[in-house]
Amino acid sequence: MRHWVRKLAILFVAFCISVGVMAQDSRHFPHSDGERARYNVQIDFRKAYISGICMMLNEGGTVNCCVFNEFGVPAMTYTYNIATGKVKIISIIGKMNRWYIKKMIRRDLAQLMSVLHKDEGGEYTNSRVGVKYSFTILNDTDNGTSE
Amino acid sequence: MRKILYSLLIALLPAAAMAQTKNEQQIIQTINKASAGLKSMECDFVQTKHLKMLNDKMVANGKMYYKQPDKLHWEYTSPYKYTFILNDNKVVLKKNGRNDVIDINQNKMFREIARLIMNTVVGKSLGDSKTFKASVKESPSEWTVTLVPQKKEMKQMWTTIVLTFSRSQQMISTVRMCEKNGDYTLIEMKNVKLNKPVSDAHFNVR
Repeated sequence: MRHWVRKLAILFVAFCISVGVMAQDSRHFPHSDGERARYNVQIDFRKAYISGICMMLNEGGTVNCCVFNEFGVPAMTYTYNIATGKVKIISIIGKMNRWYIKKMIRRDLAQLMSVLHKDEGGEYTNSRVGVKYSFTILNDTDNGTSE
Repeated sequence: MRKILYSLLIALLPAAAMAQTKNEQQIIQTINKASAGLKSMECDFVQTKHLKMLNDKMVANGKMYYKQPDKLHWEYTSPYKYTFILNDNKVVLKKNGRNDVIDINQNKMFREIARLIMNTVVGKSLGDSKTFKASVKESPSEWTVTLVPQKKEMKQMWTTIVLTFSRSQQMISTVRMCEKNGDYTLIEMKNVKLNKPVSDAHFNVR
């Protein structure tokens, strides 16, 4: 009997540890240095939408972000400075590489990143131009692991 | 004597270059022949996107079905769900319960994407000299074809697309799409079934 109780206790502790590890790896916004996050991205325009994945890494208070579509085709990379709340676009696909588009996206992303940073959801709508940005946590269902 | 040797070398160089080109052409012809004979294909795939800036990668898994002449079902099953179906002139995108049907004749961008995915997956890109410049290397077990994009839109996205073909199966095994910034996406085909019956239900565009 005591043997079984001990076995159950060990199993329970192992279960709790694994759940704890999973919870730590739940990939919320990367508030601290070295933290990572992954989001499903959807940007809705008035008549169309685009979707993809955004991966983030906090490096010394700056969050580096890469956005690409489901096929892996790159869309843009940008950085978000947590202290200043500013977004800098590093690269963007050809058709969107216009100063006025980048200006709008930079402002919108700064608003969205602020919302994500404050854990106030993952949506921002630019009602002036009718563009809605939705970022939802991408749960790792299996081997989508970090290096 | 030295002059004779130089003359001989100069005379032989173009012949060597031609021989290599001929060998490359033979390999490309063999691959094209195998692609033309491909009636249907079904496989699992693993897509790994490597991001240099983040020192990270995204691994996605999925299933693919192909049926001649132009039916393709490309479905990501984890960690995200996304389905791309090409059937004749229609493309269907499925995500989050949304089904969007696109007529590729009315959408140039989708026409290019659909053609690229299909031709790359089944190895038909090699004959498309307007879109890619191809070079071939061979090893005992595989052929490696490097495609250099020629069109402006593609050059902006990729520097090279490297296709690896299994010599034994005469079938594509990996696709590696390399970007300017050092990022790349690797697609590995697994559990490949060739010319087995594939249900038309996989290509339903309604």
